Amino acid sequence: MNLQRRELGALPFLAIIAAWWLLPRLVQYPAYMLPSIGTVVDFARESLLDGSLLRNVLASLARLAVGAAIGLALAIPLGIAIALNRHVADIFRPALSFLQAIAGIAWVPLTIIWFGIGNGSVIFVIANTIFFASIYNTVIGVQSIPLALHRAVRSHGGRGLALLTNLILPGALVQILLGIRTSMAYGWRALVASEMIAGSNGLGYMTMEAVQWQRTEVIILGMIVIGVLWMLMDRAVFTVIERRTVERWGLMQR
Amino acid sequence: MLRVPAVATAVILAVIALYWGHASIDAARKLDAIGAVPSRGDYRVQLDFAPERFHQQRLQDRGRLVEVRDRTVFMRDVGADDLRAIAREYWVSAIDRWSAP
Amino acid sequence: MTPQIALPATAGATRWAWRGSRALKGVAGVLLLLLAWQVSVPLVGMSAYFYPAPADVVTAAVDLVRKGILPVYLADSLGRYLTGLTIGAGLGIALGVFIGLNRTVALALSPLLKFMFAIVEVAWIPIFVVWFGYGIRTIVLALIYVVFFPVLYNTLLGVRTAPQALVNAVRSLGAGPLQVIRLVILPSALPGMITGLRVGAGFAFRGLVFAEMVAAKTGIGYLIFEGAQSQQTARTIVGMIVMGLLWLAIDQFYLRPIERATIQRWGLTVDAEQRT
Repeated sequence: MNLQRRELGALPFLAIIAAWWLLPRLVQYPAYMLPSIGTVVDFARESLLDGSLLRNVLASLARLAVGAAIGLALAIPLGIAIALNRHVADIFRPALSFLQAIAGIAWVPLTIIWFGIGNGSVIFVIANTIFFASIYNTVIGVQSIPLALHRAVRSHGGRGLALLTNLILPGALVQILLGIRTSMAYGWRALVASEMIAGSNGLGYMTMEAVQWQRTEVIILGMIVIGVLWMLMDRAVFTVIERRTVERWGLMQR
Repeated sequence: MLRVPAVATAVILAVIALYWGHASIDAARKLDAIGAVPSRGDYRVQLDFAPERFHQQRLQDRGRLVEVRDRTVFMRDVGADDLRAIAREYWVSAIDRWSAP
Repeated sequence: MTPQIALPATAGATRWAWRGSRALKGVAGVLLLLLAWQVSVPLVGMSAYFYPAPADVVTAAVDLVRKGILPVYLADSLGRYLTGLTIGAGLGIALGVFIGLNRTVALALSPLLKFMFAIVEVAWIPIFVVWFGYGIRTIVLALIYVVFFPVLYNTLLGVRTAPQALVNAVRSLGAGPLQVIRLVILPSALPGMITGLRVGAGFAFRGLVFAEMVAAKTGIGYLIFEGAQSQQTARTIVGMIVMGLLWLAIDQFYLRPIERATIQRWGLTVDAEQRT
């Protein structure tokens, strides 16, 4: 049954490739609209061999990593700190919700004024996106820990660091992890989008720049690489995190 | 519970209707200065401020923009419906006939 | 985007007071933010082009309204958004039901759909520009794309988890396929559809702003872009604030109430965030 499923799943891809191969032989259209498979494959080989594809991929991933690190390192501690006091949390939640609504891409023109075109702007936008998305989820996560649990841990003498590791982190963990996963989804989009407008290299930049030169094969390869990369990231990194932490601690059934 | 979206939609539609009503009444006032609207004509459109590219573009969609001087835009070849549409814009303060040189 | 926090089970007046005090605290938070912004302006000490003050932004907002620019931009953005949302959701629901009813088709198409969705909507903008140029078509297409997939996935899920017992029962009473769809499948898939719609609406909103920055001549996204470009940074910030308020309005007045109504009716507790 499993083999059948894999073959079934491959069918649509094969159908698309077949249609792509067939189309120029049936219909006349300018090459820049849809380059032939051969052109895309040639470009893929070329850019792999001369290292330019790898350079762009690594540049993009590096920015994502830096932006995510900054965003998360600031957001999670700050989120926990804000949420510890019920009143402080109530005060800041609407404001954080508002800021999360505009986090990321909307800041690109502003960052161009502040940092110019290049790494600074892209990293700032990514960090901004991930910061606001995860801080909001962290606050919600901590706030949703039942009061009874708070009291239970406190009555057993739990204070400070013990409170943090025994109550707050496990209790809010699911929401925090979900927040990280959501914010990475937004962060990835922010990476590609900001590279398109304010980048000087990277996958987003490479894909958008090709529009100018009407090198559509570059665009198509860029899209495929972006898709594959996100699939790998989403599956490998995040599901693994969830499985190893949350399931281990029995907070979620799978 | 679907009350909230329903009320919100009703409010939005009401606001749009009010805006349209007000704009149309105001437009009639502005067109009084012209009297009978010819099928094609040249006009002088007055604003309360120096027109930005946005306004020039919007006016350009409705006729031929010949010149922009200070707070006045000179247009030629504006059809009757287009003129009424221009009059409905609330940032247009006055419209006069203009005899193009 | 918040799970429901249970309000204390108190009598009417106390509950309103509770809600009111939380609202006040929220307002206080926003005011604190504005204050921090205002205070930071002399500290940063740069021109209004680089770092506008709240007063500059208020002036710019009044200016934009007086000149009729903001209402038009807002209307254009909303028009594009609603068009993309309805078409994308319509297609997603229709195909979700159609595919969901046929197990083989669902299995076959899943990997392809997964891959297509992984190519984030942002990445489609360049090729849309090549195919359709700059302008509304490209923007609406990108929105349709980004709404389509979450709605499709979640509709599919809802259709596939429709209780078979119910389907059999209704069939045994003589119901034809269309009636089965209307009476059993659609209602049970409804929560999924709404969840998918909420997720799609969120992505679509960000997508809208980005697409307008790249491919539009009007709209809130364009305002944000053009303000910076024409050295009127205060206008950029007006655009950002309007964007935030707009999303809050859409979420508070439409998305959440509709989701709540659907979930209440069907007694499920699903959090939209977890279905991304």
